[in-house]
Amino acid sequence: MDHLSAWIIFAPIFGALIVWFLPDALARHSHLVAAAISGFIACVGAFALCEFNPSVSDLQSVVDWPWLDSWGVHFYVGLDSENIGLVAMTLILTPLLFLCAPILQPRAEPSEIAMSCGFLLLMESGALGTFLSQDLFLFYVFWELILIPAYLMLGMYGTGERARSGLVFFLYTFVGSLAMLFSILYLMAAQTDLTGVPSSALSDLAEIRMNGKAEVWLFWAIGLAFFVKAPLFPFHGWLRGAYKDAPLMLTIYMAAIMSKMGAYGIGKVLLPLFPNAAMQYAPVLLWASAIGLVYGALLAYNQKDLKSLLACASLSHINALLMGLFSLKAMGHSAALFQMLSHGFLIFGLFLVCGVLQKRDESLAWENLGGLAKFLPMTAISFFVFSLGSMGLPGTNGFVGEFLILLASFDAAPWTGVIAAFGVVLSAAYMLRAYQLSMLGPVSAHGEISEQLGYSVKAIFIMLILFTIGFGIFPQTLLRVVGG
Amino acid sequence: MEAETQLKFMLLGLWFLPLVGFLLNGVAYPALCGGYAKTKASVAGWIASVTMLISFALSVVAVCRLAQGPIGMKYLPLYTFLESDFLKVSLSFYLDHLSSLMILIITGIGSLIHIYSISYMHHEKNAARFFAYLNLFCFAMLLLVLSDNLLFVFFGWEGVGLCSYLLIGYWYEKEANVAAARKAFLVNRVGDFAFLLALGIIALTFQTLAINPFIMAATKGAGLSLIGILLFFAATGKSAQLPLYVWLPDAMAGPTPVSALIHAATMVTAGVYLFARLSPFFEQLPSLMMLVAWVGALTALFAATIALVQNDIKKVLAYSTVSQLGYMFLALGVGAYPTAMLHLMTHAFFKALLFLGAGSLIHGCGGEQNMEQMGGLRKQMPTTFKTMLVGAAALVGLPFFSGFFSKDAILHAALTYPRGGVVLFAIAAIAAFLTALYCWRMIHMVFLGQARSHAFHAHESDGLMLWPLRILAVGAAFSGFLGIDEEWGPNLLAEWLRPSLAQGQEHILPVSAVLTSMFAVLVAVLGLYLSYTLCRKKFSVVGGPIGRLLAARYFVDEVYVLLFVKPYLAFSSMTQNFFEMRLIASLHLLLRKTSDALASYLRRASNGDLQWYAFYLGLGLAVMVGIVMATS
Repeated sequence: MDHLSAWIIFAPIFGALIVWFLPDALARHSHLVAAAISGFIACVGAFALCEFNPSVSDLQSVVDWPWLDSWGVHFYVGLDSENIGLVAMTLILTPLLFLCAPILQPRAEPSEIAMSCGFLLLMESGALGTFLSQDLFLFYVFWELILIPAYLMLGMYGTGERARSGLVFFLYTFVGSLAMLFSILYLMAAQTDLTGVPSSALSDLAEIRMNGKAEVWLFWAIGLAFFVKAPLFPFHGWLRGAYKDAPLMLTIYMAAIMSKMGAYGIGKVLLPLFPNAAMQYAPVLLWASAIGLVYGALLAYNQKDLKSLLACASLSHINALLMGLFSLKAMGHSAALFQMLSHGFLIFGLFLVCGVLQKRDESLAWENLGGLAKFLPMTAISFFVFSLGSMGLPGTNGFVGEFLILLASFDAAPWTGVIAAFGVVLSAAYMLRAYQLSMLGPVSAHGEISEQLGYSVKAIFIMLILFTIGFGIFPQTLLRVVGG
Repeated sequence: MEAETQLKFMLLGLWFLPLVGFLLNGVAYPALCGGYAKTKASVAGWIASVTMLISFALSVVAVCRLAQGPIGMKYLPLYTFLESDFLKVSLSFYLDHLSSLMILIITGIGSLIHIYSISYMHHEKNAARFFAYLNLFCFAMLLLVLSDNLLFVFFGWEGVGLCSYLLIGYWYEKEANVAAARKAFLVNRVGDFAFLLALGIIALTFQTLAINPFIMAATKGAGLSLIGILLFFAATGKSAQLPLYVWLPDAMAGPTPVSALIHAATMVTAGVYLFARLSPFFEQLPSLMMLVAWVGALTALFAATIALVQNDIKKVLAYSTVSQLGYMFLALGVGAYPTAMLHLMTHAFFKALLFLGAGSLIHGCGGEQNMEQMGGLRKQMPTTFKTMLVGAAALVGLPFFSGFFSKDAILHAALTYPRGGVVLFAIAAIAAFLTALYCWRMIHMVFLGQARSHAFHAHESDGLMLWPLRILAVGAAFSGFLGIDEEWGPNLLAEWLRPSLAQGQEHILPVSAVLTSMFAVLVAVLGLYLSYTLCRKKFSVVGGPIGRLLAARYFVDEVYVLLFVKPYLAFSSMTQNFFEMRLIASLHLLLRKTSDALASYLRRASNGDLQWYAFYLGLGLAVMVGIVMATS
């Protein structure tokens, strides 16, 4: 039980291999095998998570193996209040995602499902590694690891203009990653120069202070990777295409988990490592994210289909969450961590609704939807609750983070706080529009559709609803743990 | 201690019962039946009504406890909501004289409307959904009035808005209903934005959101006016005042019991309640108070004029509600808080009565809402006629009906207000005159004269609908006696509320309350007489230019579309078509061009010539060796 946090990082890789090389008899049920594997990993991970003591600020469940000794790189992972929520979310959402595979990609061949599940397991490994890493170089390795399966999956199984979207996605993230790699190497070299003992542990790197100019350069270079991944306005150019053209399972993984890697990186790496540059540029970034909030919301209102709308909504929400980080307030920080989880679960639910609606018509364009609440009661209720969550209605988890972020950003720069507050009007505008155009009004020309959700999907909807309301009413249970 | 625990459980019970009803109707009952479509109004309705009735009984007991016990408010802490940095938010119930009045109105009138709905909705297929929403509404409204913390007031505030949205859009297959629901939610959200911002400023300035500590702390500072204005703006949204009243008339798309409960008796008075609750705070902002008085008076007048020309009976009542809420804000603005609460209570009775009566009419006429299609209904629907007559008398303020006491008290308070009180009084008096006009017009068009198309087959409603009407009629007739002016007798309500409200300045009375009352009655009677004459002569204002202006509701909706909706849409499409497709896309293009250029340069390297490859290999090796040697 000593190496749990390392174990949960590597287990998904073996899981991927199992899923890829299943015997023919099982190949048709590859998503169930993948769900079983990732469910098992989640159960094992739960041991580490349950042992976590939030009242201690130290790193817990630490694994520290020397790796590239001469560079001072260690395989150094552990749980802290920053990453515990995200690790839990990744562990929980991955098996749920596999269970929903037949709904999310109803037209896929069994082989496609098997490949996708394998890719997603690799991505789980990358995500967990990124969240758990306490070593910057290791962080980078996992950060890159997740890109390859994502890119392959988008290119192989995407729809629409997948080649173009994939290329744009790749170029954006590649430029970001490249900048980060060079910065990390520079930083490690500088660290060795200053202390004489090479180390790439985040705690050691946070000790050293670069001269002003170098710090600013490194801040922006490393920041670029995070800003692109989150994405922060105006680095979001890849998002709409990638979210829309990716197969739904990948879209969910990108929106629910990968976007959090960028935000997490900002809070865990960027701001602590370069505090002076952070102080200097946080106001600019705070404004950028405030603009991003409005920008995403305006964009969302103008989309012609549900999936694109949710992609833009996600952009808006992620930028709102970044406002919490860039406020540089303790409250904003924990609110952002809280909001990362809220958003992850909500966007999972919303895209799952897309999956149910996709059964009839893949495009999800408004003209093909409408009046569906009559035929899809369970889906409609779930959709409505998740919409309420994402428009931050009190009593849902979305409100808690939103309110605390409003406070923090108002404290840092009052006008950005006003924008954050105004987000409630904007988000209500597009979410109600989305709900109305798909679920309410006259029944669309396509006529009836039957719901026929499996038990697992129903259970997942109920679970997500309970999560949305539960943490909306008792947020302290979560706030106590994350970002304490 | 024992009594306190009992009280706590009582409050929890009366609060949670509607939630239990919601869960039963929203989850359990349809799950048993196999879908909402198979639920029956009789079952669902009784589940909902019984929960509300028990809740009402508990409220009565709790309020009696409060009345018996040593005078004072009861804080009943429940749980800690969140703790972050400097802010700690806990929920406690706060039962005082103000909230006790509110819970009685909510559960009492709420129960009646629930029972009424059993019959009104009996033909509905999705009845369980309706009653679930209705119960959820009561749950949220109770939270709004019972919470001692502004954040939880906001919970209730948005919660009732949500239920209002759900109920307006209850018949969701109709495009118009859905649009009205969305409009109501969005306009309310504009107000809620101000509320949220006010909460933010309060939390940052005073490190608390609990109501009484906030009132204690908020005695000086530059932010006070800003907080006050934001809160008032929020109140104009929920309570449908200028400039945010536009959603309420559209909200009539919902089933009529909803209009009675939410859009007349309870939810729309949330703004009035909030203001009264925070009255010691607002008391310090005399300029804002004056603004409130003016907004209230102008809304009262403005909405009354529009009500003159509406032909849809629910629209008449909707504008009437906006107008009467204006009176309440006028009273608040001039510092007459108990009077505002008195009017809130009497209005809850008579307007709920009028709406339910209208529902009975609509029900009897097979869904017809246009008064031009009614007429002569006094014969077919005698009970509805009599009870609505009581309601109308109360609304107009005929002597000794409830509206007489409350509205006259408001007029009197306006007159004694030292800063422009006479003008406010004059505006309110004109509005009262107009109220009499449209009220009689409504009675005339619906009940008198000859039966027109839909009225031939009209039938009186059944007992489940009529008994709530009768009970409300009693309230509409007599509830005013609780608030008799001090010159005449004991003002019981003002005495009761005194511990909870700011005391207000005692203004020197230039005239006796009796005189203003007589004047108000004179105005009302004149209005009725004029209306009577006009109706007999079949005079209609609809044709003329003023009539057209009124019928078009002063084009306010159109102006709002022009000022807010159109620019928003334009901005949204500009974001998409210009910023996103041009600017951001050009960034892609740059990236792709660069990478293409780079690729074509590198492509030259992979020319298939083995010797070149060997050279690259060697070069790479040399560089690596060089790096290793340089670093070690």
